[in-house]
Amino acid sequence: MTTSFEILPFLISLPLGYLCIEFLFREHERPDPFIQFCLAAGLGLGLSSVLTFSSYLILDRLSRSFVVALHLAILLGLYFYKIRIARKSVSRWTYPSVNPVNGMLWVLLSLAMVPLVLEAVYYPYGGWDAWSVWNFKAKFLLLAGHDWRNLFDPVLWRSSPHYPLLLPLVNVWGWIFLKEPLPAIPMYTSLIFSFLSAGLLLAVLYHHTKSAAAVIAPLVLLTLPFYGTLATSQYSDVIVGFYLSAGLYCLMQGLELSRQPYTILAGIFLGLLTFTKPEGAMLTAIIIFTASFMTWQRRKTAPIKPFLTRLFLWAGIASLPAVIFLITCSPGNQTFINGFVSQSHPVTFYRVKVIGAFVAREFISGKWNALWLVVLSGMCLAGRSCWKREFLIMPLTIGFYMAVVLFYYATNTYFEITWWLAFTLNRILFSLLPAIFLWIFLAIGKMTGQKTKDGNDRPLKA
Amino acid sequence: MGYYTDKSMDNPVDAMQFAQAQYTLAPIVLEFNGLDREYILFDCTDKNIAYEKMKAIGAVGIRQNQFGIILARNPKAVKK
Repeated sequence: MTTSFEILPFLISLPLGYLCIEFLFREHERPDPFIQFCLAAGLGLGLSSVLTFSSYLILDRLSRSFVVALHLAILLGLYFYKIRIARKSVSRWTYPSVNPVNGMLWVLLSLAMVPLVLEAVYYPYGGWDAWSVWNFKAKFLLLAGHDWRNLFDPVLWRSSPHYPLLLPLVNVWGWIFLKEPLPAIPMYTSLIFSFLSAGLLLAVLYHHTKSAAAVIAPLVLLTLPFYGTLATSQYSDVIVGFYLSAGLYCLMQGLELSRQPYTILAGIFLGLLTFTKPEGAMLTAIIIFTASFMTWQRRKTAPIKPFLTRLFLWAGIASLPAVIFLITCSPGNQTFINGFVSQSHPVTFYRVKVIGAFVAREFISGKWNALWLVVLSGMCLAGRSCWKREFLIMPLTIGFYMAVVLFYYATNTYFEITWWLAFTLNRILFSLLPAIFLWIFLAIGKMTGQKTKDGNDRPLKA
Repeated sequence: MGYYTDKSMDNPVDAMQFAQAQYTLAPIVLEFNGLDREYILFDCTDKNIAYEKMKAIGAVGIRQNQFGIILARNPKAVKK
């Protein structure tokens, strides 16, 4: 039976994220309410994780009262700021009106969550890596007191002590009002991020296409059995998927429409992404490099300095927890052998062939229920729309990232390659799915959407 | 504390069992095959293998469960 203390931390994080977004955006610039809700919930949980981390850094232990007080202080500060602004504003508090079609789509999406919730209930401890890595770390951080740094002892190399702590700290925050580490909390976390990933997809697609067909993409995602299994496994990949798609969407808005608050928000999401997993940090680096390159190419037509300054500044600020973790906590990667210099574990042509064959087999594997064929069909359907300038950041990021990941598989010869690919490649693809769907379905929406009177494509609307 | 096993960690089931022990005992750190710790969990394919190892290091059994997992104390161990 769920008690209010189990869900209270999540209910505190939501307004925290919501008020932060209200703080960043001027009233007439704010995102669509549904987009704002999804972004706010993800942002709030990320901030809660960082605030919880601050207790370990400042007090050298978890102080529940400190973490709760910090949350309430920030929440109250933002709330009173909003009241002050609302008093000055003509429209004061505004409540969004819900289009009935949009409302129905959200009801459908919520119904599609039911099988996922049931699966989560029958899978209460999640997958192997949940109890050996993520939930183990969360439980350790909750109970260890001043000995929390023992978590980074190299003897725990099987639990990847070099992995950042965003997910464990979200779960510690979820346990903040409880006496013991209930397994239900990591389950809620994974379900919330699964819902937010699908919800953001629906909100963005509906906002930009105004078509009920926008619900197809999130429904496909949530009803895919293998997606459900990984989503309820309580791994960090579901969080990587959410922050990646949120960061890319905000970046696209900032890049194409020069809307500064979106650029700031993109920086924050990309910064939080670095605190999820080493793969998240790699994605952030790739996205920032790609966005800088794309902006540089337009230097003659648009001023690039404000955009790049904001992106670098806010991504840098939001990456601070990951940087502090890397410098003061991480024992370094204990499971890395550079196959290009190692004589005992060299990179072989056989290893490269296995990687190629495995990747090809993964895309046609039955567990994905022909999903990659659907993705390919979507790309064909969208045609040139997929490669339009406004969406280009997405395929470039996904393409570069996959190239880096495959190179890493070849380079790091610590693990036996077939075992490693079997356990991790599907999670990499899973974390990319929301961003891939966002890209393909936005492009399809653009292709099938309205043309201007002179026959040109409409630009991506805010 | 230490965790001693003669099982292969290449076998996912045995590796999972070790991970479960580590998760259950958190925030205690389990050192794999750490026989120099004061308290050691023996999880062997045969109880006799565990007894022999305990005898070799001078450890004394404290408890044993129905699955044959033994908690032992090594009085010679230096507390870390």
